[in-house]
Formats: sequence, C-alpha cells, structure tokens
Amino acid sequence: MSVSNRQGVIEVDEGVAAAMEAARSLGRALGESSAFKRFEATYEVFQADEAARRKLRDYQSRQQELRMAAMWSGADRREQEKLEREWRSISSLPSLSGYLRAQEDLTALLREAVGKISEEIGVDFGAACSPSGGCC
Amino acid sequence: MEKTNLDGRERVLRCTDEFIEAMKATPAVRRFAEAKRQFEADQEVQSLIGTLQRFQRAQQTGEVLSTGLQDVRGAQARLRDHRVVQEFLAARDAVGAFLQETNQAISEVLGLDVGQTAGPAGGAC
Repeated sequence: MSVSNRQGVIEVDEGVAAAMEAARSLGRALGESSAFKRFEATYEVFQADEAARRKLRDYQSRQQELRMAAMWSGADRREQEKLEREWRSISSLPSLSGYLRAQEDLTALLREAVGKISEEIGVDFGAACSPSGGCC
Repeated sequence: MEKTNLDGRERVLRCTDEFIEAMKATPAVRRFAEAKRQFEADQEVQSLIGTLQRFQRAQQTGEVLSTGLQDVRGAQARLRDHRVVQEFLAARDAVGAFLQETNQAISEVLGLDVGQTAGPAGGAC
C-alpha cells in the first residue's frame, strides 16, 4: 500500500472489517435462501419423527460395525448388500428423504459459493476450515 | 439490496462475489497473491519442484532415474529452506487462518458450519 504508515494501518483495519462485514452479509443471504429455509424446515420434521431417527441410528451403527469388520477381515458382500437394502428402505421414509434432499440442495449451494471463493482467492476454503487432519 | 428472487441463489452468489472482492482488498490476500506470483515465477523453486515430481512419478512407474535419493533429499531441503517457498507457505497459512475467521462469522449468522458442510470431509465419512 503506497500510503503513509499511519493511513496504512487505518486502511488495513478497514479492509479486514469490510471483509468480515461482507462475510456476515453472505451468511444472511444464505440464511434467507430457500435452500436453507427448506433445510431447516425438513430438519425439524425429521427431528420430530422419532421412529425414522431410530432407524437411521440403527443403520449408522450397523454401517460402522461393517466398516470395522471390513478393516479386519475384508468386506462381506452379503452383509454389504443387506445394508444397502436397509438404506434404500429408510432413505425413502418421507421425513428422512425430504431432509436428505434439502441437505443435498443446501450443500450444493454452499459448495458453489465456497468453490468460487477458493478459486478466486487461491486457497481451499473448505480445507482451511475443516478441523486439521480431517477424517479422510 | 433486497431484490426478491425466487430462491435467493442469485443473491447468495452476488454476496459471494462481494465477499471475494472485499477479501482481495485485505493485506493477507494481497500478500498471498504476491507470494504466489513469486513462487510460480521463481525458476530455482520450479526446477526443484520438477525434480521432486519426476522422482515421485518414477517411483510410481518403476522407472530408473539418474537422480539418487541423496539428490532428492537435497532438493527437498533446499525447497524447505527457500525464502520464496517459506513466504508462500506463511502467506497461505495466514489466508487460511483469515478464511477460518470469516467462516466463523458466516457460520454464526447462519447457525451452521459452512466450511465443514461444504468442505472436503463434507460429512461423508
């Protein structure tokens, strides 16, 4: 910056403050998007559906068990297929399928925004914001 | 600013562009852009990277190179100690930390971690 030191400092602070304000505006725009509103609404419907939540929990622990088993002794094709059938059955439950679809739409919108940011800034936004040493 | 449109996507993308422009005006992003330019333009750095990449490729394909392990270690060390590389990495870390801060600001407004939801881990595992 080709300004005097004193002004430089002010400009620096303003630049950062403006970026933070732009971040909050982006947050508000996302919050008011129909993708986000649908996500919130379907999440509540899913949360209220006790039976569907229990089925998803069971499925997830079963999936975890199979993953562990596969690490030790290789994947059991038949068990895998059974799990896939289970998934098809629970993911077609109305409360869960609505939530999953909304989550997908919201994730697509977030990825579009985040992808733009990463590309223009030259640093991967998602990677920078994931906990270091992420699970994958 | 409150131009209504059907699903708000346009507005999200417009705000994303505004956010990017604001980020580009910050010292951290300017410093990184300059560091990246120097990193890409530095012939010594690029040649060291080329040496390492050729070695990696050869390891995968089983090809025999005249470059020995000693040369590779030397290239790694020179790259690690290179002023341009160090500045590039430091500037990139600083932008990463700044992006984390902005992610926190976005996520606080939204009540959902944007970086994590859209990030590489994406909740898929």
